[in-house]
Amino acid sequence: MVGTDLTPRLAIESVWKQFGRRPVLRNASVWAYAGAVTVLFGRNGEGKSTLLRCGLGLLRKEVGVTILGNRRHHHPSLAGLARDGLFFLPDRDLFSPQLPVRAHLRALLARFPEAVPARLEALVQDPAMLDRHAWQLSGGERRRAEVGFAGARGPVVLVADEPLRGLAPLDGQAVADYLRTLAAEGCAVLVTGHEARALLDIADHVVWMTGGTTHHLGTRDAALAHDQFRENYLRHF
Amino acid sequence: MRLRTFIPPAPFRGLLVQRAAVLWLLGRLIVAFFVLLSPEFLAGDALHLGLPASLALAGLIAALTLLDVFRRHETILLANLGVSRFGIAGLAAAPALALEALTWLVPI
Repeated sequence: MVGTDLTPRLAIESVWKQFGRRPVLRNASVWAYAGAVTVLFGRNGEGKSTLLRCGLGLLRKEVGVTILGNRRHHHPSLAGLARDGLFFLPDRDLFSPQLPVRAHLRALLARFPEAVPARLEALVQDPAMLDRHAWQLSGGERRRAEVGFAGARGPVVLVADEPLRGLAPLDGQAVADYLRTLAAEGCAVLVTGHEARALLDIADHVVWMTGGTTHHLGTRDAALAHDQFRENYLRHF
Repeated sequence: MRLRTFIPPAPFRGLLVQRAAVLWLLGRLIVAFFVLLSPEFLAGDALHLGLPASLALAGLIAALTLLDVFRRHETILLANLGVSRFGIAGLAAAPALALEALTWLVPI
């Protein structure tokens, strides 16, 4: 953990959300700290992605607030948060199918001249991949390029929904290490996922989502010592 | 904050303008088709729609382009570049408005 302080750089707080009459989130909160990796765990359908999407203004919520730096957003928009240095990596494809990866990088540099293309190149295995369209890459190659693209932005906060999705263990480890490096450079990293081993290895803070709300378990070791988390989520970890 | 931070950067800018222009052309062909079917429709003038109809068409093109961006899952990518839905819609309306203005330069 590098440069972590007690003030979160991103706070998504007290979110209540229901789909129709079915409550999905009940007073759920999650924080991301500069220089640290926060991992949000939870079984499928518990509302991890919904919490992130509500917090980033991609879904409407009943109640809740998002605080990025010193600014409070009761009605956040991802575009506004992105202009303040946040990057959101969704659990589905990020790149436009109509453009090669390098064109995305050009757009990123045009908008944010401080972006660092070398960070994307560091994560893709073959530089020729940058000249291909997203649909010409395998799922794993595309995910690595997307995570590298997020890093190239040089975000102050990176919110990544299942960044290790569909990756082979070795590739997953490379992406996890990459996220760890971003945090070491001062970025506040908030990730979700089910790859417990790889994610726990890089976690500074563990948050467990169950029953529509969040439980802040503390460090990796504290999480591993939490009986209910072990029994109801990790099981045979 | 400068206006350019609200509209998509290149090459997305060109891509969206191109899509909006194609949609405008399709919209105009549909209008022309109705005029051919029924000369009373729009008083038989397929080219000069009048200001309210031209504005409505530009609005429709902006909405359709936005829908197309949703369909292609590009909204999150553009939002990460700081571009809001209003920025996308505004940019999409621009070529439609420009092309509508051009039609008025063509004599009846």
